[in-house]
Amino acid sequence: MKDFIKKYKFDIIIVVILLITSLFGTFFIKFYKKTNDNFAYIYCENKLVYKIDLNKEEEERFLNIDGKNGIMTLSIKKNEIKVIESSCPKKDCIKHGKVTSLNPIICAYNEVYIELNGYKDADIELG
Amino acid sequence: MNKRKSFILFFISLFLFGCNSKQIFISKNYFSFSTIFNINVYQDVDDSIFRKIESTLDKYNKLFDPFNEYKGINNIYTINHSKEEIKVDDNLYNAIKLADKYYNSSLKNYFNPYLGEFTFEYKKIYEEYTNNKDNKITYLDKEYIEKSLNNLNNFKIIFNDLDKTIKRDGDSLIDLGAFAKGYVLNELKNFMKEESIEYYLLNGGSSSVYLTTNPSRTDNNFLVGLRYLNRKGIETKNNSIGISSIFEQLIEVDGNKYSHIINPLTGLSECNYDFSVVMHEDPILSDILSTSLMLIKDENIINKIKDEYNFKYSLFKDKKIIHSSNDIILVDY
Repeated sequence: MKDFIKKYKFDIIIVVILLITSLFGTFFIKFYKKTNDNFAYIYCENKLVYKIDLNKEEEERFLNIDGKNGIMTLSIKKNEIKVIESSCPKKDCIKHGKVTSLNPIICAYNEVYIELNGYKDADIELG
Repeated sequence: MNKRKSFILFFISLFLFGCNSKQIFISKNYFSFSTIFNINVYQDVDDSIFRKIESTLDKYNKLFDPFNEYKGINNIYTINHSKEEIKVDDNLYNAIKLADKYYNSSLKNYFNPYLGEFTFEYKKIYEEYTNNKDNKITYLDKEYIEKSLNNLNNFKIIFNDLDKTIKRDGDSLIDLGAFAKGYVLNELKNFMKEESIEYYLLNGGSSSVYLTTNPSRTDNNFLVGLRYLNRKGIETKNNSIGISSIFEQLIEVDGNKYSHIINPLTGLSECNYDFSVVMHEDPILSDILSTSLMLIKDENIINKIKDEYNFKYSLFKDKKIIHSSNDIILVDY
């Protein structure tokens, strides 16, 4: 065994390094990346109109969405997105507050749907 | 070890640890039944499939609509506004007939597709409530409940299988709300089968879901999270899940809480649980049962219905399981 290790020392080191880097890469992709992604997906009339990386947002900014029956204004800042104005009669989307992965916003009146996918680990969430 | 062997080892380790196989994943959202239908397909399919799905959803959205009429279509609105025989499309005829079949089964006291007088009134009150929560609103009054219950007890639908006509015999109103999403999911499931599509997930408004097998997992299960339980869910495949919750369209009047789920025996909103989850291969049954079980307090009655329909279920109050079948397993995620 000692002779084997001595003879193939360099090869063993290469294999171990490769395994460690591959494992590290896998963990990085599977865990680190998943927990840090925080994308808001904004659909309007069945089409994805915006995909926003909320991690990259710094100052609060406002975005107007041209919904089916009027304009909806969103406030976007770091890790937060919410509706602040809407042409819909009930204004449920404003009362809803900020969108979380567990609570997307659905505005049937304007046919706008906003969801966060970043922290979702299940294939689908009901409720 | 020579260079060649090192390279082989390098590539093997890349395959073992570094590479994720690329899955085809198409996700589409459709607004229908005042909610979102989310369709995920995990294989390559033609775009025409999604156009057909959209047209199916649009068709049933119009047929089941109790609030609007559409030119050239006899729908629930048309039937509810007439005492005459109404000729309807085969799809609507079959749907009402199936709802009537479940109504005339052991579910009779819990599932009633003729509760429109109550549910439409509840919807009006809910809209008034959400528009201004400071306003004092009155829940369905006693007189209205008694009159509508009397209508309900004397109501039936007259079906004519030959001419495909439907006639209301009585004053109650049809409302397929507790059945519609499950029915449409079942129609989409049949369509996917006809088109030989194997890997997909159909989500009707996040309260009814039908899923096949998940190609990205070795056990082929999907993990279905339940928001009510906060990061707990169910792993399953080739199955449907229906949920019901009192928190949807909840009204609070004078400290009393009312949900949109109406007991057909009393006309009152009186659920025994906060949340229910039902699993069955048939999305129609998981949809109907998730609402019906909210009204059944006695576990023996639940078990009798379970023996007949063979489903899995859990019923919760204050986040705790009150009744549950042994074969339902909740997992953390």
